Amino acid sequence: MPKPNILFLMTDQQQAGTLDSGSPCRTPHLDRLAREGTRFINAHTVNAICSPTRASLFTGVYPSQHGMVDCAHAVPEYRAELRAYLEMWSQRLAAHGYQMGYFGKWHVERSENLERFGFGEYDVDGSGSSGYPAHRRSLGLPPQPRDYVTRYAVPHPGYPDYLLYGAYDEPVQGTRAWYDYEHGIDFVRRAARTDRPWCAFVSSGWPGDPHSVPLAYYQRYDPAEIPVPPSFHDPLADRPNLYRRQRAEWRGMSWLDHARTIACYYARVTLLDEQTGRILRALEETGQADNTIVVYFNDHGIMMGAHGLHSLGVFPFEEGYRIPFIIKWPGQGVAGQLCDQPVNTLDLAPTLLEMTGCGPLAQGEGRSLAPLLRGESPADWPDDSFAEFHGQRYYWTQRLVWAGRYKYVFNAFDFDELYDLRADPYEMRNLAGDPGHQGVLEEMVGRMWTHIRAIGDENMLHSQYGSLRFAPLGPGA
Amino acid sequence: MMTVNRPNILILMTDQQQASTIDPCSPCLTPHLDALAGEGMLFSRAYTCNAICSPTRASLMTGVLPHLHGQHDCTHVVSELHAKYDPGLPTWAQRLEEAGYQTSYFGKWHVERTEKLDDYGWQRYNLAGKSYGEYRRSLGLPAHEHLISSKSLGGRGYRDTVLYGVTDEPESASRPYYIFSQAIEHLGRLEPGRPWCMFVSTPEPHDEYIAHTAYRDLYDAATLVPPASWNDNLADKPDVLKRMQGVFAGMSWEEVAEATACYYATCSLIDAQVGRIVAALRQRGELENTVIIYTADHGDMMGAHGLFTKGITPYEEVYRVPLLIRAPGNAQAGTVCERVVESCGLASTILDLASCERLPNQHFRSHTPLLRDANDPAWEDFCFSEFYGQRFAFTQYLLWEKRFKLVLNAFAYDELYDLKSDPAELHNLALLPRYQPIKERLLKRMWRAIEETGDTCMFNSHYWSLRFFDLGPNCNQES
Repeated sequence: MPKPNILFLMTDQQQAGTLDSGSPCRTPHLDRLAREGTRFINAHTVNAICSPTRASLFTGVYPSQHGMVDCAHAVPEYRAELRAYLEMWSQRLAAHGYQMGYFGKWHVERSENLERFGFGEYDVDGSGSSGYPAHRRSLGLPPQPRDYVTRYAVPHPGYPDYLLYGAYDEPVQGTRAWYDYEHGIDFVRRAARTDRPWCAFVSSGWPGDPHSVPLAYYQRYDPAEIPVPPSFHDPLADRPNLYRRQRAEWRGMSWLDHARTIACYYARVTLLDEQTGRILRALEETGQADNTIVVYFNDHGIMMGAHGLHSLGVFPFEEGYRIPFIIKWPGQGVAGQLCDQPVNTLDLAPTLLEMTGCGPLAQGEGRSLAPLLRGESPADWPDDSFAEFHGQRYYWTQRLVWAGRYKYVFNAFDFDELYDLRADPYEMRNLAGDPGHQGVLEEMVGRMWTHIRAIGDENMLHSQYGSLRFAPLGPGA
Repeated sequence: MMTVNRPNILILMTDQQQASTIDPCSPCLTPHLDALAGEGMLFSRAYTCNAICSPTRASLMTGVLPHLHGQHDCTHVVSELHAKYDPGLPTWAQRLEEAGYQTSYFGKWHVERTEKLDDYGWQRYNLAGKSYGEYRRSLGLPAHEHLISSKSLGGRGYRDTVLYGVTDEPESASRPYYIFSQAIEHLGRLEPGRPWCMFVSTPEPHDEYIAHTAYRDLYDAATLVPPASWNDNLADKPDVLKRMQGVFAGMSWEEVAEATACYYATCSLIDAQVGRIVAALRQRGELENTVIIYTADHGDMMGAHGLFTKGITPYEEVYRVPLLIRAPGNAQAGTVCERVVESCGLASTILDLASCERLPNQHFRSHTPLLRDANDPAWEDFCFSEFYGQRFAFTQYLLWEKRFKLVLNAFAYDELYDLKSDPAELHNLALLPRYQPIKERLLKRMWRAIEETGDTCMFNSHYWSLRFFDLGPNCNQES
C-alpha cells in the first residue's frame, strides 16, 4: 500500500468565520473541500501570533515548551528561540522517504535553512533568495503595487505609514498568493512523475495584513453591504484597559473605512480560495486526488472589526483564536462531516504521522484526529482546550481555557475574563466578576493549572511569590 | 579628589532595602551607616534600572540595561525563556582584575545561573548557600530559623509562606553576620601591597521579614506611622495592582506595622555588620585608603499603596535605592546629593575611582562628577529604567526627569507623577489633558533613550496592535 501524499495548505490570519455558512465571504472551493472531508468547527490555535503557533504546528508542543514564544523576526534570540532538540513531523516524513516542498511564509525559526527541517525544496517569503521579486519583474510589475485605486493608513505621529487596506490595479498573477500556489502546483505535477510519496506545504501569508488586493477581487464586495460585526459597539468597559487603549488606534476611522477593510479582507480570502481551487484541480488532473490527504489550516485569526478592533495579539476573542480547519482523507475519512470536538494546533503532528504510518514524535501534547476523521466518537476525547500568549514585542502573560460552553482568560496584567460562548457568542459580557459564576470560574482556573502542571511551565508554577498570588486559585488547588 | 590612585574598594549591597531606611531622620536605626554618610556622599535620588534582583544585578555588573544583557527575570525561578544572561558582556570586576586588584565576592549573586564567578572577574567567592547551612549545623541549629512569632500568607491553592516573624536565635547565627564574617576573615588573607575589591551581598532584608529579637526590641510598632499612600484605592492606577493589593487586603495596620518593625530590625542588624567591617578596616589601618559603597538592588513597597515587596510597582519605595559613596579625601564629605542618578552608574564610578578604563557602551553615568561637585550644573537629572516582569511578563518603562516621573505601561494606561508636589504618588496625571505637553516631552525623551541604548526590538514596534503610545518611536525625527 503506497504511503499517501500530503497537500498542506496553510493560510495566515484567516478567521474560521469566513467558512461559516451565512458569512458574506465567498469560498466555493473550500466549501467543496469541506463537503469531501471533515471540517473542525471547534478548532483553536494555541497562540495568537505567527511564530509561536507555527513552531507548535511542527513540534506538537506548546510555546512554553518549544521556546519560540514571540515572532522570530521581531525580538532578539534570547527572548524567543526554538529548542533545537525537538523533532518535527516534517523531518520524520523526510526520513521515511517523502519528497518535501515548502512554499511561502516560514516564520518558525530564524535560520530559514529548511533542509534542516526535512524540506528538500523551498522558497521562503522574505528571505533574500526568494524568486518572487524576479517573478514580478518578469510580469513587468514594480517590486510593490503602485497603482492604488483606494488606500488607507491610520495616521499616528511617530509611527510610519502602514497600509490598513487598499485595492490596486494589477493581475492576480502578481500576488504572492498566486506565486506560492504556482510553486505548489509545479511541485505536485513534478512529484506525480515520481514513485515516491510527497508532502507539499504551501504557506501563504494571505489573507494576512496589509489588507491590499487586486481591484478585480475588491470589486466583488460592496462595502455598503458589509454587515457591522455584532460586537463592533462593545464598550469593552469590563475588560482589560489595554484593549480600549489599543482600540484608540482606530478611533478616527469612519464605518466606511472599517467596511472597506473587511471588503478587502474578504476579497483576499476569495482570491486565496481560487488558488486553493487551482491546486486541487492540479491534484485531480495528475491523477493523485485519491491518494493525497489535503489539510487546510491556518495559524490564527484576526479581529477584523470585532469589538471595534483590528489586528491581533493580546485580544483573546474567538475571532483571533478560532481557526478554519479541514482535512480530506481519501478512502478513510468521512465526507461532509462537521466535527465539534475541541481540537487545536498540537493535533496536526500526531494526525499526519498516524495517517502516513511514520510513527509518533517523542514529544507531543496533542492527539491524532484520525478517529474523528473516521467518524468515531472516542469516549476519552479531551473535553477542554488550552492556549498560551506570551506577548508580541511587548510582554504579556495570558492563558486561555475552553471547556464546553465556557472560555476563561487569565490575564496576569489586568483582571480576568470569563465568557459563556453559548449564551454570549460575541463575548460582550465578562462573567469573571459575577458571583453567580464563581463555581464555573474556579473550575476553569483548576483546568488551567492542570494544563500548566502537565506542561511544566515553570514561570507560571513559580507565581507563588508574594504579590503574584492573585489567581482565583493557586497552582496547588 | 582621591588621595590614593588605586584605593581598595568595598561594596556592600543589600536586597530589597528602601532608600528611606538610611535617610536622615528615618525611623529605621542605622547608626553605622549614618557615621559613614558623615564621611561620604549620600545620594537621595538614586534609582535602580529595574525592580527585581537578577536584572538589576546583571546591569550593575555590566553597566548596561536589561534589554542588552538579557537577564529579564530572576535566575532561580524562571525558565530561560525569560532570563538569558549574555556571558560575553565584559564586567567591571574583570577590569579591576586585569589592573591587578585582588577581587572577592561574598553572599547573594543571582546575576546569572552558572555561579562560576571567576568567569566574571571574582577570584575568590563564597555565595553562602551550602556553606551557610554547614555553619548553622556547626552551631547546632536546624536549617530554618526558629520563630517565636510569625504571620503567613495564605490563599487557596497557594503554599503557606511566612510574611514576617521574629526569631530568638542569636545574631551570630544570622546570614548577614555569617556573610560579613566571611568577608572580614578574607581581609586577613589578602596580599599586602596590592589593592583589593570586595563585594559583600546580603539576601536580607528581602522578605520573609524575619527579625532577631535584639533588633526587634529596638522598635515599638505602635509608634510607626502608615505611609501617606497606605489607603490608596488605586483608582487611577493599573488594575493589576488592585489584584496584588488583594493578596494583602486582610492585613490590619497593626500587622503592617509589625512587618515594618521586623523589616527595620533586619536593616539595623545589617547596619551592625557594617560597623563590624568598618571596625576591622580601621584596626588594619586600611580605612583611609578604602572606598566604601553601600547600596541595594531595589526597595520594597512595605505598605505604600497597600502593597508589599516589589515588581510591576513603579513607585519610589521600590525604585529609589540607598546609595552612599565614601571616598577618602572627598572634600564633599557629609553632603547629601539630591540630583537624579542611576545606581548602576557604579559600573563606571568604581572603575573611575580605581583609575581604570571604563567598560565600552555604558548605559549609566558615573557618579564621579557629582563626587566633585554635588550640584554640578552640567548634570542632567534624568534616569531611564526598564521592567520586564517577575514570573509574569510585562513591559514597563520608567523615566525620571527632575520633578516628573513617567511610567509607560504597555499593559494598561500610563502614569505620570509630579514628585515635588505629590511625593506619595497619589495622583496619576497621565490622563489629564493639561499635562499632555509634559507627557509628550517625556515620551520623546523615552524613545530617544530606547533608540540610543540600541533597543531595536522596541524601537521597531510599528505593528498596528503595538501602536498605543501617544507618539511613536520616530517622534524625534519628525519636525
